[in-house]
Parts: sequence; structure tokens; C-alpha cells
Amino acid sequence: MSGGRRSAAWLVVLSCVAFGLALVLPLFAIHPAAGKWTPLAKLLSPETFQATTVTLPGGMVELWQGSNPIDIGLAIVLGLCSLVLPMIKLAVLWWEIWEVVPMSDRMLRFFRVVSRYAMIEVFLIALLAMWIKSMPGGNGITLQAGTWCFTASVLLSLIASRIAQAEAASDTNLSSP
Amino acid sequence: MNPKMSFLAKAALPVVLVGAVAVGTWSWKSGSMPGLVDGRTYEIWLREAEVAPTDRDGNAWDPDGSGPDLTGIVSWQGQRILETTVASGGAIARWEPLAVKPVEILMKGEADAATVRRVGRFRMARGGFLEVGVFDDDPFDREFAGAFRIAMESLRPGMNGIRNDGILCRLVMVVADPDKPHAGDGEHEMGAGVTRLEAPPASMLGKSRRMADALDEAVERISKEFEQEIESVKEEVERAAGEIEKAIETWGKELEAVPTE
Repeated sequence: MSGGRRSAAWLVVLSCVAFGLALVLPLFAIHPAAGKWTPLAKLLSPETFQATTVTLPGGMVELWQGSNPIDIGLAIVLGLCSLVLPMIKLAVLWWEIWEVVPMSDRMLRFFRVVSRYAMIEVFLIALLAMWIKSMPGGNGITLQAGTWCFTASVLLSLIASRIAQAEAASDTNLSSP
Repeated sequence: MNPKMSFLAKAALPVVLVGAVAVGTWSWKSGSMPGLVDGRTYEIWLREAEVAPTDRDGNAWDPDGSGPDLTGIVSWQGQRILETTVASGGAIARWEPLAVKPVEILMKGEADAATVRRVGRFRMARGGFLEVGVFDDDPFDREFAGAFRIAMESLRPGMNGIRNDGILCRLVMVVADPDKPHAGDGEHEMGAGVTRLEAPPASMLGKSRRMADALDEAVERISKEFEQEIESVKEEVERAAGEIEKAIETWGKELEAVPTE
């Protein structure tokens, strides 16, 4: 096995570890505020003004349990984009690294589609952070370890994918007359 | 090997790895939640309680078919430290740690945060416990829904939840350090350290029940005093009768001694 493939395999393993951590660790914390009344409101009801952390499974369960069909739909989209598709993406990437025979066109197309939609929540988190920060009252949001793990997983899998593609291309060049 | 099987076998590793890391992190995270600090004072309040659709006898909570009017009590060292407001007409009650009493504020003319906060305070001690009970508050009595004895070591800062298959099937309480109101925003599901109580602790008995007990005691005391009084009157009468008898005897003798003409 070539050094490039071995590096790509290690990157996929690291990406899996980062993804596993991201599934459990909090993604972000929301710090509620009530403008100039914040100190008084915190004094009267500290519980209401406690920072709330959001994890991916927690958010999905909360959406799923909501009576609104849009919430349930969101839970499904979130589950697909942040759980199922990234798993498929990592699995296919792993297979691509170890498989000497190049991927079929059909599989390649599928992989491209999956890659496009997997880990879309990193973008959604950025959008949410902007939205919460623009709310009146001075609400704050801080990104937590889970988001950094998601980002690391995305970047590692991207690098692994590039290395694997380069290796596959060089293999094809070597085998061609 | 079948190409499909080969793909599945190769693809399984990332899935297994992700699952192992997620489960390992989750179990480490839930096990490493810090407990309460020994000797420190904490605030506690009830957040939510859920009871079964029927009471212990299988009857509707209220005769008119409406849901129970739930109220919760927390006691520490045999004394009530918190009694919630009554959450009307529902199997799921939710309480806030605030209760504004306008009359009290009007009488005093001022109010601080401590006046309007409806929380209980306790001091963390190893081996200590809290008792939490939930009742259906009726006009003349309180029907016991369920209670738990909770070891203090099992509490965590933040939300502490109990699930149970009894009549009181869900209870969520919040424990907070008053000096660090933002510390502990975790959610902790309690398992070990929680004991279900089949009867309400003495400190949680309803007003009417306590009044009945006090009345029983008073009647017993009065009857004992009355008995003693009768005994002393009886002794007095016996003594007086003895004296009268003696006087009659003396008078008879004196009469006999008088010479007849």
C-alpha cells in the first residue's frame, strides 16, 4: 500500500473520531439577555437566563417531538445531512482508499451527491449564530467543542478525499499503456 | 467475496468507529458530571411533575373529571423548605421559581429578589437526603400522588430528572448554587440514590390531617385532665363524707352525755 493511501486512511480515521465526538459534544451555547434589564432579570430568575447548550441528538429529538410537521421535517433533514450522509461519505471514502479497482461511474456520482449535502450543518450553525446575534436584547452565542469537531471532520475528510483521488489517478496512469 | 459484501465489510469500520467514539464520549460525559460541594448551601425548586391519568385507587383525580391540581413539597431534615403554587387541572404540572405576592409587597412597601423567589434552601451533606412529594390539592384535603427520598450525593447542579413507573411518573427539579447562578446548566437523569416512598413523610401531611391529629391529641389531653378532676372531686367528697360521719358521731355522743331531766 502506498504512503499516500496510508495517510488518507489515517485522515479518515481521525475524521471518524472527530465526527463521533461532534455527535455528543455541545455544538453551541446560547446566552439569553434582556437588554438593559438583564441584571434585574437574572436576579429574579437566574434559571431562565442560564446558558443553554445544544447538541445534535438533543436538537433532533426536540424537533422530532414537536407537533409542528415542519419541525419533524427539519429533524429528518438534520438527521440525513448530519448523521446519515456523513457516515455514508466516510464509509465510501474508506472503501475508495482500500479498493485498488477504481470506483464505478455510478458510485462516483453517488459519492459526489453525498459529499455535497453531508455536514451541511456547519453552514447552518454559522447562519444560526448570525441570526441569534442579530436578535434584540443582546443575546449571545458561543461555539462549543462539537462545532470545532464537525469542522475538523469535514476538513480531514476533504483532504483524505483529495489524496485518495490523486492516488487513484496515479494508479490509472501507471496501469495505462 | 461478493462485491456488495466486500463493500459493506470495508465500509463498516468508519461506522463502527464513529459509533464507538460517540458512545464512549457520551458515557464519560454523563459519568463525570460534578456533584454538589459538601457544606455549601444550594437552592432547589421543582420544575415539572407528571402523574398517571388516575389516582392510586384507579379513580379520576377529581369527581368532575378534571385533572389533578398538583402541588409539590420539598422537605429537608424533616421540615418543609419549599411548597409550590398549585398548578391547576393537568396531569403535567410546571412551576417557576418566582411567585409574586402583591398583598405582601403592598404591606411591606418594598420587595427584594429573595422575597419573590419561591425556592428551598439546603446545605449539602454527605449521607443527607431530601424528600420530595407531589399532591393533588383539593379544597378540603390533599391526595397523595407520590414522593421520593433523594440522597444528596446523587444530585447535580442543573436539572435533575426522575422517571418512575408509579403514579408520580416524572419529576424534574432544579438545583442551583445561589452564588453561581449560571453554573450547572446540565440535565441529569437520576437513577441510584432515589427511593420511592409509598406514604407521604410526616412533614408533608396536609393541613386537615395535621389539624385532625392535633384535635385527637387535645381530646385525649382533656379527657385525661377531666378524669383526674373527677378523681380529685371523688376524694374530696369521700373526705367530706368521712368528716360529716365523724361529726355526727361526735354530736351523738355529746347528745347522750347531756343529763335528762
